[in-house]
Amino acid sequence: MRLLAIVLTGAVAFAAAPALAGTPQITRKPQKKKVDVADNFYGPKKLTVNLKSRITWDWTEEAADVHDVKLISAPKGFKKFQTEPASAGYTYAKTLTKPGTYKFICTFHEEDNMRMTIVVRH
Amino acid sequence: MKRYARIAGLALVAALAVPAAAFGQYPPPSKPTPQKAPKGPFHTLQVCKDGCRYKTIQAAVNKARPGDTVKVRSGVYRETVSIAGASKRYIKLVGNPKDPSKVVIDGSRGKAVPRQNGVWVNGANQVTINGFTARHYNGNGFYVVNVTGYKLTHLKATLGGVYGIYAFNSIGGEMSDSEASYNNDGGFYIGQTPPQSTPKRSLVTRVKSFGNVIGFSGTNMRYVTITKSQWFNNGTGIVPNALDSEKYAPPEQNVIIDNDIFWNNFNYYVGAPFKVRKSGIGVPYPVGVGVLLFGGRHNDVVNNRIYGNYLVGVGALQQILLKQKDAADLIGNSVRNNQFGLNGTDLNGRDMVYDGSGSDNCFAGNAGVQAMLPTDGSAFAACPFTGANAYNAAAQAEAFGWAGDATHEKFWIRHPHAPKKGYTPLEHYKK
Repeated sequence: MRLLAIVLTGAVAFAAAPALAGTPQITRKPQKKKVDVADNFYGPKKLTVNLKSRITWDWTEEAADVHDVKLISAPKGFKKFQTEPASAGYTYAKTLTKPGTYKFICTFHEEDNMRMTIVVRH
Repeated sequence: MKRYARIAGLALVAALAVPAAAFGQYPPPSKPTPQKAPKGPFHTLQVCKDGCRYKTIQAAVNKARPGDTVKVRSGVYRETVSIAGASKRYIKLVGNPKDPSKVVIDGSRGKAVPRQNGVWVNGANQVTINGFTARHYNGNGFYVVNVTGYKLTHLKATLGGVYGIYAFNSIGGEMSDSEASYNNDGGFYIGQTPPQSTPKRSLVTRVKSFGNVIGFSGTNMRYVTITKSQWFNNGTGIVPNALDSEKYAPPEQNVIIDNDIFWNNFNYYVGAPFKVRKSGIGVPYPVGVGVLLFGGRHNDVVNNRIYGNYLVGVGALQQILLKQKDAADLIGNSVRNNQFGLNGTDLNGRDMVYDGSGSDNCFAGNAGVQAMLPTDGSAFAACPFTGANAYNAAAQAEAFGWAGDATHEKFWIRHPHAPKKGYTPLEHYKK
């Protein structure tokens, strides 16, 4: 009986699909996310956010050394950027306006695998 | 950095340089890239607070064309200056070479987010910065990156959050007639030099470095000559070092010659004019060291005067935690013809320390040596020397143990300092 109900629900949904095709997609709400910049890592290392989310990189008190954030790979149409080299107390914010995958490195500590990825979804 | 090694330690070393061809074939550096010398005509852009066309240094730099001169008159400029890209190559930024203290760029006030760099040169070859003081920057005083050719001269960098005068991933430059003091990491720093098949050397000469966590740091630095300079009252004097955190380990083919390296016993943990930052990684280099070769190949420490360093005068240690194992050993370094202990009047705690790691390292002609580790001198092969050195695990363990001392003074061997006119020993900073 339970299985039947699921099958029926699925059938109804399928039948309704043509009617929904022309309606706009539901857009998730933009978020505000913080990324720590420290010696020698970004935290978190991977992040998934909604479209138009604002990311703030925050050089923590443990950033005794100099680090930067360089966008090395981005969705088409998004302008790449690189922060100035900075240390504890510095912040930098950017809104990610294109869906897709963004890859970042610290140009000083790339060898130490200081890199991160942000996936922006619709 | 390097103020922090993944571990820390001390050791000492040395060896003879061999012909460049012996180092193998390096690929050409992928960057920095060559840039054509500009042909002119060249112009001079004037900067001053009142009566000049440009009131900020950055405004003038923005208008400058390759090879132009930006002349900055006396005053305090609260800004960060960026000189970036090939369109700014060969620019000369000139303050007051005779008295750099009259042209100050200051990072201490005016922004919620602290200013990071006094002058930052990125990808602009052959830029000259001459005659400025940078102070209170959260990051670096004067900083060049990704360039071929630079000249940083008649500068003072003080009270910086990280490095005073700094070149990274660059080829062939000069730091001269300058001073770095009370910086939270290296007063001077050259890091990540790209290996080159035909090396362009860099020169550090006639500089003073004092009151810094490290006088001179050189992570994966190569082809640098450090000479005719004074390194004193720092936590650690001069540290060419191999680290995984940057490319191109280890440090190679550097020459430390004809310097005064003394009184590097500044225990900044007890007190400092800057806020001591605690990195999330590693252990700091021990306080009380004149020169430390922490990994490295074909570096020479020659004809220096090394005295009054309470832990070690010259140390050489294997970089035992380097992931790149083939770059961890000390190979072909030499410590020759140095004068230790100022004729017996200002002794080092230990003159030479070497864990005997690696090969082809040698020692010769050093005067005034009174204390060594290992104490029997077995690790200190005479020059010239080829073959495996006499590794001493106990000496290595002892030296690395110094880095774990929470007081940073426990293993010092104090001796009285000889008076030196115009200089005061700094161990514990007081306001």
